[in-house]
Amino acid sequence: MPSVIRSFIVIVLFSAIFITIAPHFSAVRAQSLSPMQKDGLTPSATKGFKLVVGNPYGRKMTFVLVPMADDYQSPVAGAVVKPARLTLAPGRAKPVIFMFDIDPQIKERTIALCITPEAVDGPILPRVCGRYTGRMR
Amino acid sequence: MRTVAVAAALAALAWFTTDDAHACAISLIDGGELALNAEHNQLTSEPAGAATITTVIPSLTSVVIEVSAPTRIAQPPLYEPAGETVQVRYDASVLGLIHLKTQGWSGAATSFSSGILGLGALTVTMTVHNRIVNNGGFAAGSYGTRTIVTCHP
Repeated sequence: MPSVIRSFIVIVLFSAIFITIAPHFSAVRAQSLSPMQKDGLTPSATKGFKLVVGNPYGRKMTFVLVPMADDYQSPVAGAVVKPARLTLAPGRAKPVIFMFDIDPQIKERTIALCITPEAVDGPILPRVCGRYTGRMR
Repeated sequence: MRTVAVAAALAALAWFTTDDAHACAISLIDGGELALNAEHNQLTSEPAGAATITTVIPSLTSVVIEVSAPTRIAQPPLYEPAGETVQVRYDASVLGLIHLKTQGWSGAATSFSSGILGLGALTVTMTVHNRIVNNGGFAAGSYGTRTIVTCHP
């Protein structure tokens, strides 16, 4: 068999395998929160992160974003996320800005941001949370 | 052949080094429902009313799936909750092939780590059952439970 045909068959086979398995292993169009963990320096007593919220559902959904303690159990003060409520078309993602205050005496704060659908019927409330750390220079 | 292998490696590198490889997506596929058992002492999602959740998790970094202690969030006015227990149990696996966790009935919060499973991101499917057990029985009306399933670093 000529080498050109052999190479063509290999490329077609590789592409077919990749296309078949990719939906099972990729979160490209399905992330709800990205990145889930990040830290950074700030010259002031406020640290901000730009995050991306996505809608993995097959229908338009509204999500609520809530700053939480780093154990994900209770809402915290001294933090703001804009927007705090986000409506997204299926498979679409939008950036949000998450900012929080840092105590100048401690110079470091770790805080969480949790995202839930605004209206869910049934016994399960799905939630994705990320954890973010700001450090003062 | 070599060109194909290098191109594939570069494509994979670009694919896996985006933020998407560190994201977590959680979707409720089926909300589930409760029904009264034959002995009239349990409102339960067994055998056929389980909720189904899929979670697309990064496999380059480990994440934690946390299942909260279940609570009762709706009941009719005449319901007597004294002596009740609200419980949740679940199974989690990757595409039904790689078993991650089997949790028996529990009234407390539980969790499991995805571990580092390989390259890219993987889909974890969870089948979650809820029940309210009360030997005093249940007044006629609507009942509901709530369990929070969280994906976090």
